[in-house]
Amino acid sequence: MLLVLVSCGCGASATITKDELQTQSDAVHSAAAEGALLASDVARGRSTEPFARIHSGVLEDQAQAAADALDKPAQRSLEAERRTTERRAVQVADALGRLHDDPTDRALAARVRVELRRLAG
Amino acid sequence: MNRIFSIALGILAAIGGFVDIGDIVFNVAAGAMFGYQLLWVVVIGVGAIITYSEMCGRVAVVSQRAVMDAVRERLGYRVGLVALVAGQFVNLLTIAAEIGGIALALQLLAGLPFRVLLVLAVLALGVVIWILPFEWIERVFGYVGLTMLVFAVAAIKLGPDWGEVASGFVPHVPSSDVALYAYFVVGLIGAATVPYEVFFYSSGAVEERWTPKDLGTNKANAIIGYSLGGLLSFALMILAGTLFYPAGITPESLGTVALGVEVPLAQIGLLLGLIGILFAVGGAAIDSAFSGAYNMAQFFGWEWGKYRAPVDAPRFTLAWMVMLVLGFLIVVTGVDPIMVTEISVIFSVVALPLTYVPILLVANDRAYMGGYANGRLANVLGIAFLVIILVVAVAAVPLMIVTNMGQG
Repeated sequence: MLLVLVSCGCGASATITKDELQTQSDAVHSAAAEGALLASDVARGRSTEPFARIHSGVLEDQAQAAADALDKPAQRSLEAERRTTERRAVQVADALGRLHDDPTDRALAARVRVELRRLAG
Repeated sequence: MNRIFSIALGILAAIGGFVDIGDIVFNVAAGAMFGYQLLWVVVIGVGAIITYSEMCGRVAVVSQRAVMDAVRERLGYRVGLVALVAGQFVNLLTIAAEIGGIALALQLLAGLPFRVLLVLAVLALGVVIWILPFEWIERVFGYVGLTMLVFAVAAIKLGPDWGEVASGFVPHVPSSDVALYAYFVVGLIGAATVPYEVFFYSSGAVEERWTPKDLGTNKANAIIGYSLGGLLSFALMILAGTLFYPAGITPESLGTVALGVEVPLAQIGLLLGLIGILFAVGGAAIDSAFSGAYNMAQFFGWEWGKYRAPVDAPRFTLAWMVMLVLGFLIVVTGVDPIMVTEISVIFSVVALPLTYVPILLVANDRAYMGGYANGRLANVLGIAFLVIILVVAVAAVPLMIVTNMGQG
């Protein structure tokens, strides 16, 4: 089993490949889109405080993990896209962090929803 | 009235066994990544578990011996030992995944720290198993777990394209992402047919002291119980296919599943969904802990059964406690419970033939089963599903590596 886990986990290289960039970009999009759904529910008073706090924290961690994974050089042809995606990941994590810190503020949640929808593209 | 109550065994097996953390994770992830395209796989998984549960229930009724007992007696020590080791390994991973799932659901409900909830979860499971009789464990987890039906309501309320849903029941191969698609085929079949379900089901039949008069109940339990479980699997996949797939959302936590029911049904949907998950996963944790204890006791010839007082079956009692503690120790290390779930499902696929082949052999043994041996329909279905199980068992680990555990 360890062999399998090692095989699954050892795909990291010194530079970001096109596939890896796409994977992280999809992860950032996913966190932003899901965060927008959550923020929308919070803004309309349709969620609970523990759920909004815990789940926004999980999504923040996902976006931050993508940002961390993107924090290494890419081939020259991919560098601009890498920087854009990394910046977007940080912005998504930041927006979700604000929701995590104050999951009962409906006005804040409405602003976060707009921001995350824009970042999800 | 007794007959109605005994059907609860099937309902518990369906909600607590069929719909467990593995089912929840794989069905929602499959819906989010492939829409409704993998619904047909659930039909195969449900067909396989109905066929083999009915078979092992019949073996238990006729011989008063559960699966591991029959395997040990009819197929010898070596084959039995291999089946035992493989079954226990998968059981342990499953228990760890279920305990992690309970803590995650509690965390989403109460907002308390995860590790504190892990401790509470394992203590609560221990107390519940110790205090409640077998029938009450069935009823509490089976019936409260039925609140999972809120996912079916949510799926309908989201307004899926029913024509598209119907097309998902037609097997096909996609034009792209074939390996990922195949990984989910393997995972969905594995989640539907995990070995502990049949170990628990057959041992439960012995616990309830079924006789040949109960063969109708056995058939009804297998068909109704697992069909209900299948219905919930459809609901989870349709919900994810309607809400997450078009939005490009890839679920990576149990919270995403809960969000899926909150979006259409607000707080009440969220609370019912989380309570349903809590009891379905809690029931599955008990099933798998019992399953591990049943296997050990039946293989080594110990006294076993929840109907016995702990002092009358001390090694059986110690075995389920040890299973719970080991499962807790795995997940308290900080390993992601969702990852443990995926690993447990994929490795259970690998172990499936070691459980299902002996069941088919014993159920066909006329010297053992007499007039209750498999008929033509049971054999045709049994062999057809066994071929599928063998194929997915061989493909499971390579696909896990190629797809980086479904990450693409």
